[in-house]
Amino acid sequence: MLSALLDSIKSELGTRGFLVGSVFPMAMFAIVNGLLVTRVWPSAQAWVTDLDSGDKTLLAAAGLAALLVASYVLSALASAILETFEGRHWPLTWLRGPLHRVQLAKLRDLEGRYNDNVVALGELIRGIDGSRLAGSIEHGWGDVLYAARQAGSLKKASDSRFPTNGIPELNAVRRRREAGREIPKADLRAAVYALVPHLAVNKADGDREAPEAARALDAAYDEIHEAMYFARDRYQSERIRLFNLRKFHYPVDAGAHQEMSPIILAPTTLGNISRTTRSYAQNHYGFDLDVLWTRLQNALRSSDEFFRSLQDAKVQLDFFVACAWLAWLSTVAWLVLELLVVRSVRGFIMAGVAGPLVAMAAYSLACRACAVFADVMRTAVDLFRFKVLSDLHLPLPPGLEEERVAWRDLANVMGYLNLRQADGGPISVTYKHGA
Amino acid sequence: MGRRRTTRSPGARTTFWTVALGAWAACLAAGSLWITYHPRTAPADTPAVEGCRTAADKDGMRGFAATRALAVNHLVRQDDLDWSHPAGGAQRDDLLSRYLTCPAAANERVIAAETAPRPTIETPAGQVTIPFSLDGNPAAAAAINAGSTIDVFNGSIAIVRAATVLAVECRSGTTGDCAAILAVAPDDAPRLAAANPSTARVVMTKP
Repeated sequence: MLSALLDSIKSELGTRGFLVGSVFPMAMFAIVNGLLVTRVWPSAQAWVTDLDSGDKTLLAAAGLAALLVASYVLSALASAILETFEGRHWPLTWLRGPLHRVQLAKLRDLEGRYNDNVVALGELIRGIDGSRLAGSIEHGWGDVLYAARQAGSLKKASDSRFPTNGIPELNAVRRRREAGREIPKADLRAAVYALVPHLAVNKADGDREAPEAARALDAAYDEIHEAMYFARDRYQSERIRLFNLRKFHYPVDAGAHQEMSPIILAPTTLGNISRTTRSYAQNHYGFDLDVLWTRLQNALRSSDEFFRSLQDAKVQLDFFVACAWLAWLSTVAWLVLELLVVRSVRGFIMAGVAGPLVAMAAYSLACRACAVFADVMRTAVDLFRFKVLSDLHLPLPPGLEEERVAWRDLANVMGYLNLRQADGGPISVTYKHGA
Repeated sequence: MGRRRTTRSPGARTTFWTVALGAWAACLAAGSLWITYHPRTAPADTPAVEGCRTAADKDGMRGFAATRALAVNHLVRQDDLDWSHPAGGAQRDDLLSRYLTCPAAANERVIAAETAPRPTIETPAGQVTIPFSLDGNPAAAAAINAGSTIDVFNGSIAIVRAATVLAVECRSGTTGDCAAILAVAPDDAPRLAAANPSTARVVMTKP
């Protein structure tokens, strides 16, 4: 429903939206398929070459007209094609069960990785800072290293013995740090406790005049600290990345919650990214995009710049979705042609391998474009939802709780023609008319 | 509630993609087998005329002039005939990708009635005919034709020398999926049959 409504954004773009979203992909595939036809049937090329200039002009005009008509049909089908890739129409509905399992497995895997990352980050921070749990005190690595260094500072720098090429445990940490990979707590701990005995009996001195062993020990001391902080930041960065990936690619958690929700997991990646817009608005503000989208769209027009960026994102999404659909269509057409008419094993295999690869690449790009579009849509909800209330001559809510109730009541009244609350009482709407 | 490390198995994703790719590969294999056992049938043949006409006989007939001398069983390609001057409203499709049933001298008119969709192979006395795939030699496939003579090498070792090309058969178009029908000495045939066409080198010694 929302996908079809969203198509109205593009219609306001006029020629540009039609050109980029429909004519370009159609022309691109017409040219590629035309080249393939001339390769398989050289007589077709010969036929075109033999035409006199008048016939060629006529053929070009007819081809252009056919291209425009096909592009118009493609444009009209855009929302249906998008819904198909979202898993709402056949043939994807035939595979709904297995596809849903795949999406659920991907989501569980993502949540598992996120949880592992949070656990690893917590363990690492506990290792760096230490912890004071009931009954036990665990000193932080920084404290342990500092204490060892203090003990070693009583020694003479000239007596220091430390391998200038480092110790194996620290070298392993260094390799991971240089490569920008995560450093597990166990590796860091091993490096810290391998360095401590050296620090305790040798003086670490970074002075330029100090002996080489003392300077190497000082460098190792600095290096292990830097590696600890890098490891912490690396886990933190990965945690945020995984969190965003989960929130902006899946509309729900893998496990259902006690609160009722109208949003469930879609059977395709594109479907799930698309649903994140609805889930974001619903979960954060109780804003029902299915009901309120056209009102929000009207509010969006108050900012030409923002509305244009929303249109651009939608056109980009339509372009890649059209490419993916045309790639599948061309693949099926060529497989049938090779099988029944051309009968070339090589051509059949090439169509069967190259076609799906191109289609999957286009689908992958469509998913990326959809993620961008969904992000712009979420921003639209954030920025323009109060404008919807103003346009409807309704008072602005003082807080989030009141806002959620307001949107829920509004959706009930406007979208579902339901004038009663869940407890049976009437929904009360008070207008606020401007001066 | 504290978080604990989770153990994950590939499970549904791996199964799905294994089944999907396996099913697709099976469909491609089945289609390939079907094509192999159901090759393209030749278009309806133009009834061949008994004997070959002289150049004067063909003057008033529909056709195109040969750009050079063409042997019997020559597979007609783009550069064999002068397509820019069709005689009597001749169509390129009447001749392109067909085989000559009569030889034609340079500038002599070639007519559809003296072509066939398939070559007619007559094995020279004391020799055997053997097809040799030209898939690994696209340049050779485009250059050689009936009447050519070729050498076939495996690296620097000659497999067969001076083999006469009786015809070139192509599955699609005029240069794709081609095989040369060669006339060779009986002793050369097993070596040629055992040669790997994708790695063998084909050298044309006479066009």
